[in-house]
Amino acid sequence: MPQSCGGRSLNTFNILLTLLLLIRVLSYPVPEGKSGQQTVEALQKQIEVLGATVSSNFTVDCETYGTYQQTSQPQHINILHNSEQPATCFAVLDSGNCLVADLQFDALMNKIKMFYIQKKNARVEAKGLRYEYGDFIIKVGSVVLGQSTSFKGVIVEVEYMPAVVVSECFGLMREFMFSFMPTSVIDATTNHWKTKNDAIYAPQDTVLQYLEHFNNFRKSAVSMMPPMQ
Amino acid sequence: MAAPADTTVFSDLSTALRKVQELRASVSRVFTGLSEGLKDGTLKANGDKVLLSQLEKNLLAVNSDFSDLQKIASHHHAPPPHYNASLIVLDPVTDRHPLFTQLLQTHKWANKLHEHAALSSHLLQQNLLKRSHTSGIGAMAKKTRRLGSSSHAIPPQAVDSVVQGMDAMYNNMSITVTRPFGQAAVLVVTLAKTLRAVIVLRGLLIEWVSVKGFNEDVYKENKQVDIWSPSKYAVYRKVSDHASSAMLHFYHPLKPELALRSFMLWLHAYVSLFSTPCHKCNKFLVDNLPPTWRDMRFLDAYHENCRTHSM
Repeated sequence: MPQSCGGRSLNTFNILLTLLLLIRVLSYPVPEGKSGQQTVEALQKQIEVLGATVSSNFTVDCETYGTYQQTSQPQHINILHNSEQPATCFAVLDSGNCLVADLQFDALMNKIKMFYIQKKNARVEAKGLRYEYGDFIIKVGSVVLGQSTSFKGVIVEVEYMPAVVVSECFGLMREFMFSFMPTSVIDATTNHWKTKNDAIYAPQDTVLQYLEHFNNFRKSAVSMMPPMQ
Repeated sequence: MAAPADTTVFSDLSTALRKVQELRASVSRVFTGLSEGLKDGTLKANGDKVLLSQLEKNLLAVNSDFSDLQKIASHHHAPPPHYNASLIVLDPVTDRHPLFTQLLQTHKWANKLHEHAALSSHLLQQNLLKRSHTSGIGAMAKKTRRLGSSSHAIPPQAVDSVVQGMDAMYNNMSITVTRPFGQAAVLVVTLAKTLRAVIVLRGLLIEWVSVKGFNEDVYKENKQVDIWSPSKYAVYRKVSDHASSAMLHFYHPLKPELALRSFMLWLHAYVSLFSTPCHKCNKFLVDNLPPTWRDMRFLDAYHENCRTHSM
């Protein structure tokens, strides 16, 4: 859709925080003259200063499939994979319903090509380092959109493993994140936990939060495209 | 016991000596007979024969004496050696052995030992704090012994009713009872969505407490309660340690039910493990851990290091 270009400069990146137990999508302008990679490195350095150790790499990717027939209201299926659950595939509908299946589900999507077709240049991937610090797991990564390998934003995931309910450890996680991130970032809220504040955590909660952030990345990427003549 | 043996030995020795004397006498008789020859020269014709028969008689006497001595000697064996002690006697240089100084030290040591034993027994008699009331004196001690022994011999039905009472007392804390080891009850306490605790009881006395996370499994693959394995999260391992110290704090063998109720009330304070900041420093995290300690009386939340200032 033709849209006027937003007032953002190109070196403004969105920093999206995915918090496993409390979801907050936050965007704030990166200081002028600082690249995305520098932002990631600065964050990683601060986490290492805390005393956290790198345990491995992490990847979360998302493919989007749209309905084949153009006549009806377009519907989407998002297929996500998370390296934390390497044998699992998550399929999320527009309504937010999430199906948790084995990796074989990818093959099934190929079988129903007649109904759902993969959207081109819609693949979003988050890649980075996974840190362990006591009972916390921190993941800091950069987000890549479509075929391009250019940097689109920073994503941070913080998990406090012993707790299973968000409302209980809200203050605790806020205090922890404050030790390496500015308060303004932490206090912006996303939608996922608004309704599920007292629910017990499940892996799909993480994936749904990632999807919410990926969608925001896509929207911001579209808004930054030059208007079509 | 050794006296008869000694007398036989001595009599053997004296007869042997006597035999030796006889042997010497008979031998000397042979030689004197030979040297003197025949005294009267009248019987010269038969002189050789007489001399020979005399010598033969003397030699026979020597032979019989010698065989007697040999017989006695074969009965009498050499005395057994008295190990090293007997050798010391043989050594004329007594200064070479530090035996005397060693003996002196041993005596000193034995005296000291005796002195210390007397002192410690005196001190132990003054201090009558004993957990097993086995050696109590008087009617009071008898009473406590009877009560103490009964606190772990409570019938399972009574334990069940106490646990059911506690289960009903708290809304957000459920307690289930299993008995995998016969009489001893194992309680699995689920506290809200925060933690699960495994408590092993003996009667109503708490024997063991282990705390795990809400999302950790307290049952093994064979459906048995997993009592021993620690939690994989540092925060619950710390809470387990504190629960063990609380268990000892509330320990009361005379009123086990009260002790169990107090402990459960204390454990229930962990419902706000992640949501309550420290009472002292007003922070959530210190050393990467939330306030894992709960005050025994007021149930306030403290970090492990902050509590020392609170007490």
